[in-house]
Amino acid sequence: MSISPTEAYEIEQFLYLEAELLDARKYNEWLELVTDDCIYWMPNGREEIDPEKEASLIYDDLNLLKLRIARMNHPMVHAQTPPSRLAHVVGNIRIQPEGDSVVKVRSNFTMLESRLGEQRTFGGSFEHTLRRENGSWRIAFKRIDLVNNDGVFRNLVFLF
Amino acid sequence: MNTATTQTELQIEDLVRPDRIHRRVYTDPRIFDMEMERIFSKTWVYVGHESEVAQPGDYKTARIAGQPVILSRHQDGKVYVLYNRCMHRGAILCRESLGNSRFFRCIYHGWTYGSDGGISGVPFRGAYAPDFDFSEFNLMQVPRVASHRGFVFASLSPTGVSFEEYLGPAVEYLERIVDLAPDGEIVVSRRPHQYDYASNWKLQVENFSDFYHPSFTHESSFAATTQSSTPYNSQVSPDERGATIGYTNGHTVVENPSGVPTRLSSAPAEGFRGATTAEYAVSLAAARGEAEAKRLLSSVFHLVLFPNLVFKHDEQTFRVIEPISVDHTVIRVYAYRLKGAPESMNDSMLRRSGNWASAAGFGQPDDLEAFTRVAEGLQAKGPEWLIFARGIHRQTIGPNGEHRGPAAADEAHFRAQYQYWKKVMLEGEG
Repeated sequence: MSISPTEAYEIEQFLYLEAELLDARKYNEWLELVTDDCIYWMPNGREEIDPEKEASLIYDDLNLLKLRIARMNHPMVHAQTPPSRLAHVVGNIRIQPEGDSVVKVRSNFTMLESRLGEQRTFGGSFEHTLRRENGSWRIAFKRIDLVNNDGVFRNLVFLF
Repeated sequence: MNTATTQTELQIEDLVRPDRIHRRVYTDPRIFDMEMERIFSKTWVYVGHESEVAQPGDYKTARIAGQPVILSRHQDGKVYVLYNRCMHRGAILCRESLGNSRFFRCIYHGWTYGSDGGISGVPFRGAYAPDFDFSEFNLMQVPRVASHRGFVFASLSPTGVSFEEYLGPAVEYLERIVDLAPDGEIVVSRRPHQYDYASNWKLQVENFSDFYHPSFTHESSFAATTQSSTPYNSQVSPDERGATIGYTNGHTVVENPSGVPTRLSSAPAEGFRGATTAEYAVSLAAARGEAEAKRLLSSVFHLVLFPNLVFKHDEQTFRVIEPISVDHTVIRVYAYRLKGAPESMNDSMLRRSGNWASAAGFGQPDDLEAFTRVAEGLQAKGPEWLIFARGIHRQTIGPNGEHRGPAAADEAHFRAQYQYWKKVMLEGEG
């Protein structure tokens, strides 16, 4: 199974659109890009685990994502007062068709974050599962593997 | 007696007043060094749980007063706490946070030790004199190790308060935490949440027993989760519920604070906080009897075992506090399973443990923001004091000398904790 250059371009642009929304912390608009059964998962270690049975940095279904976003959008979210400035760079995009309207996309990313005069760099890989719904791509699954996910973090109150 | 030490000692006497603590207690690197020497190198410090090193050869690394140690399970079934330091030329032996190995081998000259620290291999030993005694060079064990309900503590001092005395009456609460497991044992996750902050270690210890701050610090999270099936909120005034205990040996308990649901009242459906199931209540009653099970399930409390271990049993987590410097602290949050509880419930509690407590969590980051603000605010030297006055007019002293406060947001327990802190900091000068 292969993917046409047009479809590949569309999918890449979708990832860049997602990154743009996340950079601006436009989380309600980002929510419109996910499926009802979506899972957002950021493991907290190198070893492969079953996130249903073990701790993760984030392991959210849509309900939890909505709660998380409501909290991040709240005027009294102290951990993001002032908010972080973010810039994602997404690259190394490789697309694997999984069916008629499903693709698995692997990519690498770096993300710069600046807050209160301190800048942090994050990076690693994304694994997206995208599904076409009503003609548009939607995120059914997003896994973020930070290169330092077994490390010690300051606040991470934003979506990667 | 050297003048500088005397000066600091005299100042310690004055840094702890009946209802306030001096800012230097949180900002002075000399006081931090004294704490490492007089508290963390003397008393019992939590190292790890036996379930983290369940199999022979299992090990995890940790630090006590900044000193690297290995907690290791040997083939003889015993656990050992060894200095993580090759006896030859001082290299740190093990850099992994956990693993399994029959031996530890130094990368430098290949000296090899068993999992009980016994020296088992020295390459090219012919160049050592025939009477050179290698038995002197087993990995050094820390002077004292003890464990209770699987929690392994160590003391870097060969003398001092016994382990039983260290635990004291607070042990009752540790028993309750583990007795919540129908089989009477917990299994600790080998995958903690890890975060750090640029402020003093005592801020996390205090925050854990602080039920005055939640509706302000965690306002965004309470607002967001109020409508969820397992809300995390503080509707009831903090003055109206609960109680605090500050033992004479530094440990504290805050009981029945408002806003923290008991395991009886947690909603059965999976939600933000994880699921407590009816099936679990039944298996606990079968194991402990109805009355005792009900007592355990309907109590909720935060336990602090001073200096470095704090428990939040309603989340099935505990936190280990590692002070790095006066204004840098690392915290690890360990979720645990209750043996004998339904697997699906344990899965749910572990899966959800990051919701509040991970670096991306709903709760922890706002606490860290507060701690960081304290570090910055305390750079002002004009205002000198941090106020711990809540409930001073209504505290009582209990039968064992413990401070008691009649509301969870009273601060009798902090005052007791600082009395203890002052006592050990002054004692250490002897």
